[in-house]
Amino acid sequence: MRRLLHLVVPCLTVLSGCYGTDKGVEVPQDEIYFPVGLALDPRAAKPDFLYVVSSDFDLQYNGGAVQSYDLRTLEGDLAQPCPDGLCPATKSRKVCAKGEQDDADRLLYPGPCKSLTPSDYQRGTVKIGAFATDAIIRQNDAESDLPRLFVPVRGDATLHFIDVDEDGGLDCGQFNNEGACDKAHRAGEEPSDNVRGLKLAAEPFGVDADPKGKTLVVTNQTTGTASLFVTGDWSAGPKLQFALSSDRIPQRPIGVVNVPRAEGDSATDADGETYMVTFRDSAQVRLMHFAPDFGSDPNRPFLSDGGGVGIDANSSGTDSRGIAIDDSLRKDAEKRCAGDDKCLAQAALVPLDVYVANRSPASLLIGRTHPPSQFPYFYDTVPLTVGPSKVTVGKIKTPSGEYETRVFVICFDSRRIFIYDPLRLRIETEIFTARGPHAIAVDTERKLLYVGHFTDSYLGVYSLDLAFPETYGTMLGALGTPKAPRSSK
Amino acid sequence: MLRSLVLALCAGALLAPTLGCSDQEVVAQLRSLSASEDALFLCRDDAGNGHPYAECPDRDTTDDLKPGKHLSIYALVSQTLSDEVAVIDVSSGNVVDADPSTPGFGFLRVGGRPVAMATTPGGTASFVATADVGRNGLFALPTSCLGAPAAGEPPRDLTTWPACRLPQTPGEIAMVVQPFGDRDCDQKYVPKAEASDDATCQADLANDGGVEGRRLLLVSFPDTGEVAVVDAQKVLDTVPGEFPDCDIETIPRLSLKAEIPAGITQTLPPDLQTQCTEVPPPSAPVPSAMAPRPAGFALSDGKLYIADRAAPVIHVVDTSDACNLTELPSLLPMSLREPERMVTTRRVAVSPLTPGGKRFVYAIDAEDRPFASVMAFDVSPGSTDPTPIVRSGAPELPGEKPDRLSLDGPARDVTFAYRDIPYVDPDTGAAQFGDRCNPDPALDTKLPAALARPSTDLSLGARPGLLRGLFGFILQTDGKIAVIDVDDFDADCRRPATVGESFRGCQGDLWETDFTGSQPGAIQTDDNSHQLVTGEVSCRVVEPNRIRSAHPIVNNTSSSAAREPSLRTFPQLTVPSTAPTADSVERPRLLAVPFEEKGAFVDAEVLIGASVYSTNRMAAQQLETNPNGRDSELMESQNAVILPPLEPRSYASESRVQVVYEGSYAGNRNAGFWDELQEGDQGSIALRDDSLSFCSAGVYDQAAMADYGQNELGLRSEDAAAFGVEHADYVQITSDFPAVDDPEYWSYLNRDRDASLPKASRERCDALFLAWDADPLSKSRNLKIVSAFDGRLVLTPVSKKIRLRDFQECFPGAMTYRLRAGGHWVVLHNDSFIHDIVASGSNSACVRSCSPLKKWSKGRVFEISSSADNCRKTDDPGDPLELRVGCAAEGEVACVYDQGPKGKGRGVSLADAAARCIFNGLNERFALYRGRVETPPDATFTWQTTGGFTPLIMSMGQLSSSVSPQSIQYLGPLEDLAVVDGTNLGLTLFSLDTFSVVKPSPFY
Repeated sequence: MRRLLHLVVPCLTVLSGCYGTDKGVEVPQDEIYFPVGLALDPRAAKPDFLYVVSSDFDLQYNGGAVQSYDLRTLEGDLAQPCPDGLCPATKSRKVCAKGEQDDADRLLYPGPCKSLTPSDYQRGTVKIGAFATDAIIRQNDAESDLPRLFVPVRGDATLHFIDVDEDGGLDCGQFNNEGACDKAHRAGEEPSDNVRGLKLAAEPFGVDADPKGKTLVVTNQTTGTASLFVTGDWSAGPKLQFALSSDRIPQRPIGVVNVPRAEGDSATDADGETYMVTFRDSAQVRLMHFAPDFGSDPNRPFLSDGGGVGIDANSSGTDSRGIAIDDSLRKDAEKRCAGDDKCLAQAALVPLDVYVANRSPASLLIGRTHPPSQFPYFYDTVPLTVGPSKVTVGKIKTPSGEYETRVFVICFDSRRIFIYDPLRLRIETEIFTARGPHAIAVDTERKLLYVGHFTDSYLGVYSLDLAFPETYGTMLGALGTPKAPRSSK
Repeated sequence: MLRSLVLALCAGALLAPTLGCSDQEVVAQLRSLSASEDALFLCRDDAGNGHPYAECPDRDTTDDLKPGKHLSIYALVSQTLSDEVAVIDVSSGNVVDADPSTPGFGFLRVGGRPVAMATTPGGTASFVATADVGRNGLFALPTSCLGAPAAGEPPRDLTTWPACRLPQTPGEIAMVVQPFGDRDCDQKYVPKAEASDDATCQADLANDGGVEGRRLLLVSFPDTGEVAVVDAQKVLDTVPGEFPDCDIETIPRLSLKAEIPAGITQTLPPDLQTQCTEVPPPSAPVPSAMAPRPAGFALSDGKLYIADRAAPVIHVVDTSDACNLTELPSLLPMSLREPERMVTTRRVAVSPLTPGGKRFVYAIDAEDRPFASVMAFDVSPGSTDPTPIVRSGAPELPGEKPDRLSLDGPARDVTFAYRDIPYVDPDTGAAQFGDRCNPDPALDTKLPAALARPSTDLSLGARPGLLRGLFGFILQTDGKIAVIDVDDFDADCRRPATVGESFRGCQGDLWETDFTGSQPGAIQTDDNSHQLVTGEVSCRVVEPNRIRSAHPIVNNTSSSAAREPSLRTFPQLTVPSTAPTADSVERPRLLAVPFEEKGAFVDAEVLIGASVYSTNRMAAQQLETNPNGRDSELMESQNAVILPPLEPRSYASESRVQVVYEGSYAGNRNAGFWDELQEGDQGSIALRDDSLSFCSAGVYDQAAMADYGQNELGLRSEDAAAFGVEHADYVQITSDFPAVDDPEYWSYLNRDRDASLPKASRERCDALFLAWDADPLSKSRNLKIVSAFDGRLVLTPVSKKIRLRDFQECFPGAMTYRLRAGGHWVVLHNDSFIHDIVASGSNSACVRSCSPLKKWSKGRVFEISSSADNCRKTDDPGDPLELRVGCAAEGEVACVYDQGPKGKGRGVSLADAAARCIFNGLNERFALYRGRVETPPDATFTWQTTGGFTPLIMSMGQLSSSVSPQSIQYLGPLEDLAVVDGTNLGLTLFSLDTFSVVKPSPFY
């Protein structure tokens, strides 16, 4: 009887989309549990810390967690690419710090080495609500302001924000709140924070922000809205200001990305920020413009629907997921301008490359903008395997020391990550990952790719070192012991 | 109890599937191909020997029992995710399992991602270029090893194939034959003896069929912009399982150049040549700062055309001496509409030489907007123009780019098919390729050129479904394949029976004598009972380098396949239910107008349903042209419209046309907000909407309307200015006001408010503007558009009682609004508005375009009204059927004519100044006469056209809704098109006879 109830109650809880209000089982601070978001510390080109968001997807615990890991230490315990395969970081070490993994285990958990223990590298941890979905990090202009993580959380329909210090410590008011982010760090809960009396709609999913974190847009899957947060006073954090409702945009927005501004952009401050949004049930990408409403008194910022462009490069084109923009060509042009206004105006006309992970059919959509228009047009599509879910643009360092753009497309269902080379217009390689690749972070300087394996709750570290083709895209180490989902045991 | 319930549910769950079972067998379709990208076809006998491709298909079945005589077409299909090459026996319709010892289909594993393939002329071996990090190479697949290993042979795996390592990532490859000669490079390569000791999968190209000579592979290196030459036999001679460096140094590599000669521009056809300053003359492309990055190959008759992804050139390489490749002057991709854009290319195709000595190159402009498009280059012998062809007729196709083949989806790949079905001379029994259909009545009807004429029901001879000549095929990313007319041998017979009529696009006609028959509407026939011509409605049904029609475009209904643009019903007038009631005779009328040819009316016809109606008063079924014609009371409709046949391609297959009084033409906008006023805006208010370009929406401000009045309606300048003020567009605010209980808004407005100002409140807004959902909306919500710029409108309230501040306070933040025509009608096609407004000058003012491409961009209609002399008010006594045209307003001068006295009322004639108000669009011709009652806003004439131009399209959509086609090629021997799909359809063949999938394909 008890066993039956054990089976039924969690199922009903999951189906209802809620989680218990009792204290429940505390989140283990030394585990990665259904990771959904990764972010690298923005303070250095070779980042010191990796931030990992765990979602507690099966509600085993009383919340999710955000943890920071010291990459300087972790790096030394990873196997290193060598001409003949893998070798240790230094002569005094072994290739696998914790020993080699059994061959039988490598089918589900690729890589030669046994897992590393998260607590050995962890520098900070806080508890958040359950069902986090993503993570981004932004740094304000002011030197005194610490970089800040923004994490949408479905469980309590909030946008958590967490400051990170120089030592990887995390602060979201948890010290007086039993280790969990306090109310002041959970934006979207309090209607009085905005003049419209709004609360964040249910099921926040995707998030992106302008480079300074002054405007943020969160997509809400089930309500079909796009929610706008605006950061006025950095110390007070972002406040929900507006929700672009589903009668203005298609149902089920998913991916969102900020459209990078040109250096010569005449718009001031956050005025002029634009976001691109993808949808699960509509073959289009829409633009949403941030309107600061400076001309109105009282000032009530909002998002205006800028219209959409159809995705015609695919036979169907519906069910788009992640979206990413690469502005490196424009940035290169701006660098060459050396501050010359006329030149910058020309550089502003350099198109932005836009990439969308699309599932009908499974493909990477390739498009670009046509400045000054910010609408993308999609001119190419690259077939992929089942289940493209996210797309990220990153740089890799070539053996000759040059930086080249790569597009990383995660196919969750088929447990692969495709690395697309936009210069050569081809898939450079595909990484066969462990189960459920979900979140990634590209560490250009270390030539590493961090992958959060959602299904088995651990982090994989893969080589992006082109100097060693044999090991390019192979796993060099794992952080956290793989754990199959309870339902599969 | 609970336990029982759970167990019951579980039992139910277990039983449910069995309850749903039936005896019907469900066959799962297993798909063995995945992420296919390219295909290569070769001819192979049962003994495993390759043959020249021209020897297939095997038409002699008498010797099929001999393995060396039974020939089959094999396809090699690259599998980019599994690093394999799939083998398909196209002739038998089977996917070949190269590894029967393991479940599933085994393919040929190569050492990296296959990116290009080529085969020898005799089909002895094929070569696969692979690209992967650290695994760039060439793999040789001898044709003898394309199947499963024989007994005792090892399984096919990576070590089966001779292969060599390339120093960098390869792009495309092609096979050329170097005739044997005296130079070292021309010498016959002698295989090394030790190379073939143990290997089962090697081949000697000395035995390769086809042209004699050394087989050389051309390999492009995109990163360095080079083309290297590799001896194919040397690759075959490497020891399988080893991966030595390819010998690319013996024969010099060709470094491609990106040289763009100065001053070369596109040549415009006469109908695009203009003095309009808004249209810059064609300019030469800017010199390329980018190094060449070779992409797609197309090889024909000693010339290799190479697309370039980085530089705006298509390289032309002379391959007649592969030992000394030389680059010829490049083709120069460029864009007429976007001269500043550097146009690069991905794929390229070259056509065979036609009997008329024409050859074309098609290249894909992958980054064109909104879709990747195709450029056509004339590379015929003697042609010196390296730029994309600019086609004539572009003004009549305003949605088309004059120098691009643009379809409704991105182009993925292109190919050509040269195809002929020769007609046999009944006397001599001889047939000749390349005979063109000839409609000349004097021609001997036994000649093939006469035999090619159409049958009377258009089921034989010249017709859309018969591809005779040179055709292009554009594969779209959505799985559609469009057929392009390049050189249709039957084009001369596909035309109207009448000659020289400009409204049919027949000006400059080569023929002088009509092809009409003795009966009205009939077409002359010849001794073979063939029509001389198809009798299609326009001279533009077949146009080189434009998409082909799927149907004959004729207005008779004898052929079920024949279609011309037709009306579903006569135009119908609807008025809003809130408009004042009036009899229908008091309302405006929209009437047909005959065509104009050389200053006189020529009767026009229109197909409505299955019946032909005419403006000819002798016709059995007539169209009304006279608003005062009493006969019209006996006709089926009070309204009528003509569908001009000038350019059939300008008609959508289905279209709903609306002509709306004071119509809203940019939809319901929801992101307008007030902008700060600028110098010169006094007394006005400015509106901004980041979601809309006002010029692109087609806003006519007072200046644009005055320009229209002067130049289109022939008004004097002072009359035109007044006309501009009267008829400029206006903004109608449709927003609600902030709620009474808005948390802060009203209290904020009234805080520290000037005592002289009335208190701000929702009630006050209600009183001024009335409710947002009132029907009709209050005119106080209207603002006249004084000036229009791309990003803002300068407005003045229509009602002088309303202050600008009232608008700002009652409609704060994002407001909803509509753009409406001022006192005239707008034409909407499927709700979209065609107009001639462009942004101009440093301030991006909205002005009327002078571009020839906007010649037909007409969307505004002005009512023709009666001068006072013969005008009758609605409440005047008398016969309501007399003097039906409404009176001109006082001072109104535009579109006014004298409708004649009672009993002799007439419509507008070409001699009237008001004839300039006849709406003569590409897709409709009519005159709109004012009614005697005031026309209410949103009064709408509506009609539907159908059977417009239907492009000839094949589609993979009949197989799957989820496709990702990668490449297309024409299989000459089979006369089929082969399409490779990257999703799950593998290889699909399309017939050029039926335009449908050839079974048993798709092969997956």
